Amino acid sequence: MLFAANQAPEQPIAFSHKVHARAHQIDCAFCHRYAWRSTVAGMPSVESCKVCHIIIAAQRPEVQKLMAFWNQQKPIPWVKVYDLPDHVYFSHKRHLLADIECRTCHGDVAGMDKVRLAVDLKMGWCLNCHRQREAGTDCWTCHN
Amino acid sequence: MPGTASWYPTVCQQCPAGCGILVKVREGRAKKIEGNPDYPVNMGKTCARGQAGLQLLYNPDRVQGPMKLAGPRGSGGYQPIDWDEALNLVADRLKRLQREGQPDKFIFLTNLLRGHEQTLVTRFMQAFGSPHHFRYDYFDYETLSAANSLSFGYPAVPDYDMANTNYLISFGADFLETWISPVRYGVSFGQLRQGRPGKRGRFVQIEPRLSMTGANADEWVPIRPGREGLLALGMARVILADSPGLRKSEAKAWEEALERYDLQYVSQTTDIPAETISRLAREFIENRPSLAIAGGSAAGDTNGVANLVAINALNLIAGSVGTRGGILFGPTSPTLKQAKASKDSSGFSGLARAAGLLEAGQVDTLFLHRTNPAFSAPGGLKFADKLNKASFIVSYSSFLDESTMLADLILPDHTYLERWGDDLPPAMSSEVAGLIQPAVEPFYNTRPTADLLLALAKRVGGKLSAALPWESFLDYLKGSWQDTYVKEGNRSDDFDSAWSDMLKRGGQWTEPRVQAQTLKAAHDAISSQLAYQEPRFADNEKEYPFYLHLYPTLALSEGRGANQPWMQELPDPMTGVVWGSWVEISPAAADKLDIAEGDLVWVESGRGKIKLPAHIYPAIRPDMIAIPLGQGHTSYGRYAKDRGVNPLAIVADISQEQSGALAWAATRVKVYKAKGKSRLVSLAGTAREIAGIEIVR
Repeated sequence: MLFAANQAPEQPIAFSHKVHARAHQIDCAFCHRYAWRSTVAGMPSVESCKVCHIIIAAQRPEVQKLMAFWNQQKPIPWVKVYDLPDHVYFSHKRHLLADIECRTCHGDVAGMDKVRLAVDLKMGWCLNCHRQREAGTDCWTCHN
Repeated sequence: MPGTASWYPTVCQQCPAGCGILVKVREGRAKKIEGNPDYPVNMGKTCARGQAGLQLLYNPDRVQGPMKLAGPRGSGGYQPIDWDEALNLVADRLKRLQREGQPDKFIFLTNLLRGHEQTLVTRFMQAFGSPHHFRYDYFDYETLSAANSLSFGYPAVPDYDMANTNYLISFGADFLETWISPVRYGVSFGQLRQGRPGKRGRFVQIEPRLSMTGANADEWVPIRPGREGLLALGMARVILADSPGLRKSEAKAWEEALERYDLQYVSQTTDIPAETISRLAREFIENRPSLAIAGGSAAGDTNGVANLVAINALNLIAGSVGTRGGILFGPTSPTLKQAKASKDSSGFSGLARAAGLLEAGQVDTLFLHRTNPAFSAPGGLKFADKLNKASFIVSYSSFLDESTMLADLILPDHTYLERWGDDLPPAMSSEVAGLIQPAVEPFYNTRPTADLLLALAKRVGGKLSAALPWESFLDYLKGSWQDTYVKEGNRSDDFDSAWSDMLKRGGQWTEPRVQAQTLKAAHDAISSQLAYQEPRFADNEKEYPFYLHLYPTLALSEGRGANQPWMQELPDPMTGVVWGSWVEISPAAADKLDIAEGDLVWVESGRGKIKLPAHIYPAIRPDMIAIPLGQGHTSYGRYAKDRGVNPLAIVADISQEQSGALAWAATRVKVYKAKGKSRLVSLAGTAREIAGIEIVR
């Protein structure tokens, strides 16, 4: 089902969630550290990748690409897949504190080699859940 | 933490006012600047320039690291050099000057530095042995300081309690745009008008060209420029004739001093009806506390000091000196001796002295810091040519401005949002010390100039190194603040937490208290100061029939804001023009010269001519034209370069005798049509250009 122009964009490094989150069982929160504390979930810093990869799989070409970014002290230009427009206010913290699992909106990320948009992020889809859970459907809840 | 902002208090450096600001930082990036609600200078407000500070920090044309000249001087060809090599180059020169017994061939040109950066530079100069530290900023209030020195024995800029006055009369002071501390006076003006229930202060603006400030007045009086002092003397005479009891002890002296300023003479010379003069005089005295302030052409003519002394006299007569609603003096003002020393090294007279040394080939090494005289000095001084005579020029500028284009070495400073410092804002009636702290980590290979001076001192060694022993400027700053803290009776080991508190607040200040200040001043002698002098001009009236009114703008100041695109696209409040220069000409004068809106015209003085589009401006005397400052840069980045015209290029370098200030209003011009029409881009409607519609005449 195609609902976005590019549901699985090419990323600067072929990072695989399947390898990291499923095979090696690294928890979502290990890298996306701020999801429980902030409105934004946060991308892991290059340093947090380097901590392992300075030794682990160092000879692989994709890992070498990663270490090049670290050596140049430059952030990796990841292409954002789950992106809401500027007029929407979305707080990760709020949703996680309501005990919603990551997979509910993000799909089976741990099963993906390349991150792919699992859900069509239309307002109606958000409203459905908000109605079910009585989480507030006033305009200003998300459009402030 | 991403998604959550931190706010860092610091002090804005976009103009000499020094407002306290809060910088919103998210994910390590400065996102927004707001006023610091607690800072006494600006009480939580900012102006447009303050907001645009972000565009200095993230400007694409910033000098990103030390650079060395790689081509002929003025070519703009620079290549990177590393810090060590650069510092050694400079240190070697300084050491040589010391060895040869010629430390005075080293000149340091800065803006009006304050706080510990100023004290550090002073120490550096003293220890090195050079008396040549010159401080030049277009926004210097030398005329006002000189007048206050004569009137009150207070050689500095005072605080004006505008918020509590009933009747404000401003002789050309553009206090809502650029005069002294526009945000402060903007807030005060608001309180004058609406801050007291049931009371709305009255405001009269006396100026030959209606400014944005004047547009907020109850009455605008288009006085003949340079005669503001005469108006004040005429008003004083009317007031004292009606109520001689006001100056009882010196009544005779005042009467004699004001004798010849009768209404007819004053009215004729100022070009203001006699009834208006006597009415203003009556209103001024009947609505006390009243306050008279001055700036603009009142201060800019050759007789500026005399004008301002006369205007000070009005305040004296009304009892508005050192009282609520009047002129308030700060707790520490320079002594008369300091003021004299300052006059030689500061302001326009300081710059002229520097120019003299340069011209005579007596400058081996010159440092440039936060000042751009190649752009902002009057064309008549030919400063760029003289600057070029220095053997070796080091610029600490973050941008390749006109003066920096002549540098042999550029050692770029951090912008103010990335560095440490402090500020002691002048013109405050209470003691205020602001702290400047980095809001973001510096992200280019720049270094704070103050730290470079310390590094240079170490490399030069000897007395210089001994006088500046600190490892970093922050050490010096913090150590000094700690000394003050302890001197005030606090425990030294409490300082760290106090420092942290002060950083959170934005500095340290006492609550302002208005106390009646008795000044052992030249009150009695003031009547002898009241001699009116006609202004003199550089060009003769016959050949150059127009007065030239130059004004710094709200958006670009005198030119420093031109590299900030937000300021370029900010429509001028009176004309609506963006991204360009213009010359304002009255409809009557335009008719006579057959000039239409947008026509290109030549404006010529005895020093040269400039070509720019005409804008028909009804609110200006027909014998005057006005040009805003700010544009006409020949470098300074993509937003500023080759845009508009710099009218300072045709200004004569005539200074006022009593203050040494530039008498910018002494230049006269002639105006005539040039070939061609220009696209004057303005946000204001083009109603006047639609055939036949005359809205204002």
